[in-house]
Amino acid sequence: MVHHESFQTVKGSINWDDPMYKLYEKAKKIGTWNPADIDFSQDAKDFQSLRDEERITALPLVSAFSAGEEAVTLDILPMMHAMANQGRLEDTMYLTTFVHEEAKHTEMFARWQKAVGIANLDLSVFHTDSYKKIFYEELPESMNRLLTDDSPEAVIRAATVYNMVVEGILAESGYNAFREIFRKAGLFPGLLKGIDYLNMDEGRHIQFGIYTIQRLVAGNDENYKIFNDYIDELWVHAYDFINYLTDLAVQQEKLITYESKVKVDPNLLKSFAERQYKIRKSKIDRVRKYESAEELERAIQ
Amino acid sequence: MAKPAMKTVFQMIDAALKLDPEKLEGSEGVYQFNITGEDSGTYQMIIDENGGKAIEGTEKDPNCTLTISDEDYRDMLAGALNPTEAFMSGKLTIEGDIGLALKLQGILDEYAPRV
Ligand SMILES: [Fe+2]
Ligand SMILES: [Fe+2]
Repeated sequence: MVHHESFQTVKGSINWDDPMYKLYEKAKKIGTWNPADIDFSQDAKDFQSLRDEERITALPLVSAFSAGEEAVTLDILPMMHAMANQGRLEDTMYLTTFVHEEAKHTEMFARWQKAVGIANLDLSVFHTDSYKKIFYEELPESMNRLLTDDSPEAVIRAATVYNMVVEGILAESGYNAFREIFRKAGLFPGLLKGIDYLNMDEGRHIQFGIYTIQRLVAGNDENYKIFNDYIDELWVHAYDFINYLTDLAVQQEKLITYESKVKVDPNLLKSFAERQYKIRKSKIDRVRKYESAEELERAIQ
Repeated sequence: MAKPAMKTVFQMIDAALKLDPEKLEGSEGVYQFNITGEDSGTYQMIIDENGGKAIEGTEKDPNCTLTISDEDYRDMLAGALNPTEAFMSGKLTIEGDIGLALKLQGILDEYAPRV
């Protein structure tokens, strides 16, 4: 796109029924929380009250999320660029809220780390090869490709790694783990509140990815294969990282030789992740019955 | 009484590992210690199916590398500082497999000379 040919809101209007536009409306209404308003004072007290072997249980998750939210904050722009270039006004409008929300998520974790006094601790030791494969390599590569290539294949791959795997599988499993471990232990109310907000935002983000992939996959088996192969390829690394986290948690638990509220159930966490993977796949699989993107759009609007 | 040199400390660990290798099962791996401070040096503790040993220098690619000052390491051996505490306080930095590094707690409990 070098010049504009025309303007949608001059010739006609915004498509108010477009699912992307509806996400934009929801984000304006619901996504108004401010990370700076979350009270982490009880979290700081809780952290103080724990012994080191208990404290360390929170670190691999925090380390994965801090890097993860920072990565998605930095890597989302090419998607917006691609949608804008394609003249997708509703998508572009929605993505303005998306970028802002990822920035807030990054802020939330950084504030928590500061509040409990671990801001200067280098947590990168928890990033394994499989974590790095996804967050250091595949995510930025697939997203940055959109700057020069907005083909269906490039868009599907970007949305698959970003929205389906990073957000849909890993982040969702992470929220679940935080809740399973710390809600049950009665610890870190501020962090858990932040997680609840994040989770609502992520619901919309994932929905964006689902719509984006769905409309390219409807009536197009080749595109479906691109999605399906890529999510399967990434799942191996995602599951490997989840395995690492649960193995580590089991080991950390062994170091706790005293009575503790901090408990981890590795099987519960693994089966949750597996379920997310299957759900993401089935959401895309189900639109193959439509003949075309237009038919799908008529069905969902 | 003067403290034994770091080199001697690792020799003592080496002897203890060889004397009583039974308790090493499940802790297999190459642990590298980068000791900083006055009595600095590089050491490895190698645990495999044949048992365990500690050497000065490097013999194998480490699975985890632990960087710690000589004084903090002595505290760790004395039981005054455990690896988890040392990591949480930033006194110990770990590269590589942190799961393995956490097993050090158990190994040191069994084999560390109380110096
Ligand atoms: Fe996020
Ligand atoms: Fe997100």
